[in-house]
Amino acid sequence: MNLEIQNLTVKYGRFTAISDLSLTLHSGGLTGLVGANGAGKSTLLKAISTLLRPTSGQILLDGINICKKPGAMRHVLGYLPQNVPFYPNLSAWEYLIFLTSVKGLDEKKAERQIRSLMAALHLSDVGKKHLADFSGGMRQRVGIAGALLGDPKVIIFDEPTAGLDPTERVAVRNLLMRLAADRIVLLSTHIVSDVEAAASSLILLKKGKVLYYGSPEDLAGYAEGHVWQCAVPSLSTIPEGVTVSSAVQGKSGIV
Amino acid sequence: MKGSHGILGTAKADFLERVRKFSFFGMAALLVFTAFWFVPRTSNSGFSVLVIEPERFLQGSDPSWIPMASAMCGGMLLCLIGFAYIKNSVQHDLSLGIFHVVQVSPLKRSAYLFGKFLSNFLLLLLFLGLLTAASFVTMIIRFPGKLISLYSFFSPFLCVIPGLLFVDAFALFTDCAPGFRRSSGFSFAVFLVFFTCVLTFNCFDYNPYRLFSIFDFSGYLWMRNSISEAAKAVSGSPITQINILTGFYTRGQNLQRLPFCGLVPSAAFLSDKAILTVFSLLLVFLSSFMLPKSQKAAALSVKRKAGKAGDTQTKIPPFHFGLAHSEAAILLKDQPGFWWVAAAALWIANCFSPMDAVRSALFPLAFAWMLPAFSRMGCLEYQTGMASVLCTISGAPARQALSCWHIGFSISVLTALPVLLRLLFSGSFAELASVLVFTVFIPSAALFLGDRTKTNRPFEVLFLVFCFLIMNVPQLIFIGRFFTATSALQVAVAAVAAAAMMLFTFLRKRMSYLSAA
Repeated sequence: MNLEIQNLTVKYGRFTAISDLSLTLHSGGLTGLVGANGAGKSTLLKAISTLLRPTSGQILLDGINICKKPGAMRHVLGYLPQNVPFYPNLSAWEYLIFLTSVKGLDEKKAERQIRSLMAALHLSDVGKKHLADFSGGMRQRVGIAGALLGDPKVIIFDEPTAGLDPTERVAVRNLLMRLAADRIVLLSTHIVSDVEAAASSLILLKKGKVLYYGSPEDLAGYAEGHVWQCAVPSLSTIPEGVTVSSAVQGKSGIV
Repeated sequence: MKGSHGILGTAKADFLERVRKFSFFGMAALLVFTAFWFVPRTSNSGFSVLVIEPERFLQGSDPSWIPMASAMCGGMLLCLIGFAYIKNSVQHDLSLGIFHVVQVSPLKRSAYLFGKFLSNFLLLLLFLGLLTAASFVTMIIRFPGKLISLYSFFSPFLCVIPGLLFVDAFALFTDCAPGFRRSSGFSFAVFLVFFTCVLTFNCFDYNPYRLFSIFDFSGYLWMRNSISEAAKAVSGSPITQINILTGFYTRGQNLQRLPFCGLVPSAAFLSDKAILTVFSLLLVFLSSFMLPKSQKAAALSVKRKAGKAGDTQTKIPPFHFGLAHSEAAILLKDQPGFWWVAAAALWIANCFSPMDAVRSALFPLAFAWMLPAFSRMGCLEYQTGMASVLCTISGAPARQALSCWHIGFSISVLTALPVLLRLLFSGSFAELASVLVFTVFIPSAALFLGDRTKTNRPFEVLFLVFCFLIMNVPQLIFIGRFFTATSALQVAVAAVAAAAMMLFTFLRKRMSYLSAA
């Protein structure tokens, strides 16, 4: 499966969120989408998932322009937005059953899928609790399960691991990596360790433009000669003109 | 098959979500209460549900009066408050993010909307069923051992069903149509529903192209026609006077019993109901085209520039929290030009119209128009998440509640000002006091219910019921130039209730801060 984005531009009035963006995504391997706040990540995900009509450009899914024929994407899409949608007074099971009917899945098949996804996301014993009583992380997992219903061929997640504890994040990452073997999986996140561990390719967005698209290893290669690691005594002041990307407190000082 | 599966799945999820809310139980309790309250009384006790030519007929003397009165009054109320209850189901999905999930799925917009239509209809049908059951119990208690035929009992309720379909379709239409989606659109939609009711009640024999009887969603005209036929069967002449929800009436001598036999079968009325049903289904189908397939980026920018007019949640500015002018902005912002124009027009009409028209129509309409402002009181902090922030600031919850009440009271007094001044200058001090207590009662009730339930729905429903009652029984507020024992008690109870609600809310706000600490 191929997803080709050609000269995509999205403008909100005079503000340009995405500017003449072109790239191609293939199935097989998870693609991470990273960028600062306001870089255009959510806008790009909304345009690909057909929630938003771009100002210009086109998005082709196996040759079909989904900007004109959104149905082609909607039949194969699994989308999880940044804020997980849910009905507070429904149980997790009832909510997932609702999603299967919205996606047009066969009832018996749907129940089997729900059971297996709930088991994979450690939700089997909370299926009857109302979603209003769930923690944020549990709701996130229900949202992930909902997006994966119907065996979608294109999976788009906007910050899926936000609110999850480290064990749950690893479980979700592993699940997505397994799924990415024969699907297009696009994962937007601020958590660099998620893309470090799971992504086979990275899209780096800045102010609506692609700054980098390639493998994480090649990106690391660009940093050579520009990034150094050193240890300084604790409570030291950082000299001017130096940008610190990370700091870890160790026995000998700050690394 | 997939389409019908989608419709049923949407309907089921929406129905389950609604019946598990507090507002559903409140609504059900209200309807059961009205069924017991809407019992036609044989004595002239100052308030009557149904009065049919009291100089000719014994009032409430037959068990068949109970289902007829329940269906007539309760059915009408159910259509009015049912509309307020089921409205915003699509906007609710939008605010939860569910609508976007549906947008990116293969489910067609029409299937989604018909699912909502089905869920709303089932809810309204459930409420009608409760009303019917309560009416049956009332009949057995009031007239033990005297049963009527199944047709006589059920037919008045059945004629309300097409009206429920129309109310359902109209609610969805106002949810989808761009002009109605804001809170001011809700005012306008409620106004339309009220206006249609008033027209139907007052059309008498004027029914051009049967338009009034087609859009008579409460079934009033068919029931009135059946009552008239029953009167003809007893006394040889049709009725000339029928009042619902009315005050004192004069009784005649040698009164006759007036039993009803349910709805008189009529091809004309049946076809009216069929046309209404088809119209309702077409309205839902039309509404589905107004649901957006996807958002246009340019359209989003316009909404953002206009001070987030399209947002379903209003953000409270944290820095001016507790100040009256911020609360005024919160309650009144986002209202478009036409809302202000209509509010001003109603205000001016209250200044110059005859007092009878003011008492029975214009005053309650002016207050009903203010519903978008009042319904935000007490619950907005919970809906935006600010309540948990307020709890961490010393004295903030109580300060904010006081400020909110202050602005609500100001809006209430300003709306009632023409009437207050006219009553003052005419020397009707008892009425003046009563209207003043009313202006205190409304914001207190709004704040209390909003804070207790954390949602605007219970207050909206109760407020509309109250406005409807005032239109039919102005004596509830306009008690006359001088106090009587009953009216003085009425005013005192309202004043105490308002004070109690205010006190309870402020104490609760104080305690919420202390318990968080």
